Amino acid sequence: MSRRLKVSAIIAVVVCCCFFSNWANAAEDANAFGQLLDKIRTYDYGKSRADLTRISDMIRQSSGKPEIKEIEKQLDEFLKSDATYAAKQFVCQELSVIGTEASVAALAPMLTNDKYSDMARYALERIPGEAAGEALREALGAVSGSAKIGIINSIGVRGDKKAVGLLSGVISDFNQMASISAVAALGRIDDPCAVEAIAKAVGKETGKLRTAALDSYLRQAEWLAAKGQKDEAFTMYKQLYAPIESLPIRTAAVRGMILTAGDKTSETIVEILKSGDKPMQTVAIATLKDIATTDVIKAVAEQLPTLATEQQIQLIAMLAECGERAALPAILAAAKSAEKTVRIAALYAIGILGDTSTLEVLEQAAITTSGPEQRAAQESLYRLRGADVDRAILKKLAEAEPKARLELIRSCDRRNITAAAPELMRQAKDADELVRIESIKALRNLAGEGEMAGLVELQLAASGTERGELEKTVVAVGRRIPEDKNPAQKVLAAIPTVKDLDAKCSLLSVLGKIGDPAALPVLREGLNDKDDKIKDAAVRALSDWPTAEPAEDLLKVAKESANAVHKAIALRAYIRLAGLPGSRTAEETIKMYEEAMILAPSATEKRMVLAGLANVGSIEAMRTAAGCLADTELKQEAEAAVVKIAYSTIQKNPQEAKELLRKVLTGTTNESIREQSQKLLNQGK
Amino acid sequence: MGKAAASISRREFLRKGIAAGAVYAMPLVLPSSVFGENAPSNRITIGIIGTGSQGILNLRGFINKPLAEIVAVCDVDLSHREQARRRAKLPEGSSYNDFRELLARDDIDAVVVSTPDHWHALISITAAKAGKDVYCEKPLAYNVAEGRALCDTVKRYGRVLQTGSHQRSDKNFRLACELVRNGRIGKLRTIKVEIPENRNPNPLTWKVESPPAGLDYNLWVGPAPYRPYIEQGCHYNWHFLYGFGSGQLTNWGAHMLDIAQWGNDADMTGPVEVSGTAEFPKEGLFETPLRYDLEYTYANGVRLLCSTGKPDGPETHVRFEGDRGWIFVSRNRFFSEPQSLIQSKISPNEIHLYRSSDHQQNFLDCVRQRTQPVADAETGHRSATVCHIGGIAVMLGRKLRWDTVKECFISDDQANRMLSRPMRPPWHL
Repeated sequence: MSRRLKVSAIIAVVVCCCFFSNWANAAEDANAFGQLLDKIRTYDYGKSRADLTRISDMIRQSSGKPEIKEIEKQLDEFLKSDATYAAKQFVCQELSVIGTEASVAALAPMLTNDKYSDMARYALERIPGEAAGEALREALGAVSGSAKIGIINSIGVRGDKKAVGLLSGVISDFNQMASISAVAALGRIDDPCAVEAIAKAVGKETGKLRTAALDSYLRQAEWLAAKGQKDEAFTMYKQLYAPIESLPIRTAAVRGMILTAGDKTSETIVEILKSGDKPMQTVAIATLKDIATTDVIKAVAEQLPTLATEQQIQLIAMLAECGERAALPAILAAAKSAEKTVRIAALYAIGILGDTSTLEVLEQAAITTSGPEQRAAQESLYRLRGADVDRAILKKLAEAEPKARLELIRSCDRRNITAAAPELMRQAKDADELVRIESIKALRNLAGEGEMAGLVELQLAASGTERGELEKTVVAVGRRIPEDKNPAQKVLAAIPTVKDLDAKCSLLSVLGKIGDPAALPVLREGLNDKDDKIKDAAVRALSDWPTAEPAEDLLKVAKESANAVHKAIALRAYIRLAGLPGSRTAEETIKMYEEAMILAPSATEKRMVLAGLANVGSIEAMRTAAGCLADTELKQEAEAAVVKIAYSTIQKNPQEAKELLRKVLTGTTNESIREQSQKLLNQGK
Repeated sequence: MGKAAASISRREFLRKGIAAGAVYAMPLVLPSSVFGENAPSNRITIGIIGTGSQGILNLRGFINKPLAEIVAVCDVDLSHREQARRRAKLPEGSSYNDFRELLARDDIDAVVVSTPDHWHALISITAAKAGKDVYCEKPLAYNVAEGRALCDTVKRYGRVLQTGSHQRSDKNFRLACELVRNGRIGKLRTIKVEIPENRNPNPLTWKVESPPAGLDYNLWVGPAPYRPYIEQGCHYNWHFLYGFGSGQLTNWGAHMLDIAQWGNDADMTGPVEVSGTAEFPKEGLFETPLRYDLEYTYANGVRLLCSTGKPDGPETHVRFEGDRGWIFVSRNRFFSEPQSLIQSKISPNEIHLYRSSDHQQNFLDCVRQRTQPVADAETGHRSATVCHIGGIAVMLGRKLRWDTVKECFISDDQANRMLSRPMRPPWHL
């Protein structure tokens, strides 16, 4: 045998083996599936669902493979068996996803059986193809009551055009629920005869049936509009705009009319706005965003002054939402309205539609008004968009009167105009105190490294409230400077030059809050200063430190200071620092808390320790917290800490964690703690 | 199947949305004081439908709002509705078993729907047809088809609908999305979402019982396939039975995936591909997965990974990852790399997202002003859709491609069948 023949023979053998193996596997799978199906024949709602889950899994795994046909066949056969209702319901639900026309023969006879009709319909509604549709149509004449309503609904969902005649006949059924379902189903079928039947019902019926018909009529109008038959749709909507119709129907009709009016959109909407019918005016205004062309906006904006106050406000807000600048002249006119609420709405709208040309209007309103009107003007100053707005504000700031400057400074801050920092440094030296304070506050957000030296200089020169504001600004700016650029450099440089004690304390205070490691030696030195004021400032500064670095210094103060206030401040800061993230191990953190617990002079500090411990996810922390369960003053915090820690320890140390939780459960009177403990104890049962 | 009209109007909607976005894409919501919030005649009268645990939370949210006046409550469980009636200090006769009776009242302006998921769309649609505005809990609907029907109805009848995805009214979630949308983390690459495990343990034994007196169980089941009453499968645990809910994916996913959509500027669209695995319970009463691992892909190339969190992992959260940094946001924490990123300010010329600081107040303001709330129907529906298509992908166990305009799967008949569910008569959309 040639080499080529040998290879071909081997391939043929392998292919045959694979084929027979797959065939054998498929046969085995089908057999296994059949056995499982057999097992669920007696399934009921109170029994284990395990076999149902296995069947669902097998179906899922067979999806798209040839064996799914065999599975479908077995499911169809199952429906003919004496299996329980619950088992058949499960099978119908599976067939609703994998069933094909092949399943219709098994499902169709069930439709006319009151007991099984609903589950069969469940599957048939989802199975595509003419066979399922035909089965539903055929069954419709043979059923009544709930089964009939279900079938009508399914026909509607399927949008079955062949059923229009049948459904039209049901509208006059003596069972009103069936009639309502029929008219609703017709609303879901894209067919001119369906529209005719619905229109007839709208003209003839009353009550709930007519309400259902009206909804279907609206749906059909929507459909026509979407297909481009807007004139027909408009006529249908206009018919429903009649005053005799209910408010919801008229609302839908007005929306529909405006959306289908085509080149008469402006005319239609203006007509409604002129009608004096406030609810319909409101609907027209709300619809504007769906048809907002420049022409329509212009036409509508002209109507603004003619409307009642509430509709004016709604229209102003809607014109802003549409974002069309053609509305701006009307909005600017409304900002001068005699009605305050209209002015307020207009001022807000200017913030959206305006530009540099409207800056003056907003600035004046912010200066000359108060309360909500002033807030509206201010908000709009902060919100105004456009590339030139920031530059225009800065230009004005340099020239304006103090009252206007206050508003412009606030705008710089809220608009985040960092380019304003040099000008604000100048304003921070202004003769007007309010201007100075407002500038200092704005610099908190806007100043950078370049302004730091100047700010420290101002801090040293200031006093009282102004110095307090400057301290906050220096801290905020210092915190923004990256650590490798020595954020506290300018403050540290100033210290040796300062003679005044209060000024020096002010500098120490900001050093603590900035948290530049380069400042730590100065503060540590301060702890040993012979002057009590400096010592006090140093303790407070270290207590404010944003990282855990000075923990040991604070512990020493808490242990050794002769000043009770300093001891308390340092201990509380030490507890806070123990909770900050760092490179410590959990054991080291627990040790910190344990030391703090020993030093704690009252229950308040001990509670702080327990609150911190609760965040340490280790069994040791849980043990330490549990040690306080017997203390009546600390019981509540200790329980909360034990439970919180248990969430992260119960898997690693189930035995001890559960033992401690049981201790909590036995002693607690708190319902939430009891519930959480019980839930944790139940885990893994 | 009656979808052509909806598809075309949706395309128009998308086109207009984009055109408007070029100038200003969101409503200007005016302070309620502009409309005179304190006058009793200006109050919005509200009916609360569904007064279980979430319904009571919503009732508490609305009860002290000057603009709102709760006038009726409704629940199929007598004890629930009476508890709510007392809490709202309403006279006897103000509570209803059947929502249709409440909706028939002409003096009610708006309803709050806090029922189990399988009722959301049907009740909200009926309310919209009756001319009521709607605050509906998340997920907006039980499935994609119901969600689309609800959006279409709300639009058709000109109603205001707020989805209960209240994280849209949280400052940190909004800022996180604004920072992402303004490119602060560079080009967005991946969004990682973590949802929690089931809150309640899966019951291993249960029995069929007669429903307790005072519970109208037939109405509770409503449009879902009928199954007899099982206590452990009713209040709250319905979340984990497919007849009534779809597990944590729609429960928490509707919150967290909603934020992913917001940050990815996908409110009017959604992912184009989804695949994943899930751990379905092999035993017990629960049917929905215990754990999920999903991967979505958007048309802009962004990958969205959604998984069930570990007990000792970080809390339920969203993490946006870009090529220049990342942002982590949860209900308790908000941080970023670089750290300074979350402190950065959004300037007027940058992208600003809809600003709401109180979800219920935003709804009331929008009802008063007749404008679109922060989590309107389309937004809520699109976010819920992300959950639903993920659920279908794990049920079928295969990768699916999603057409965001037609809202159907591409070339997958079985998956498309699962976008809707036949309703038990007499209920229909």
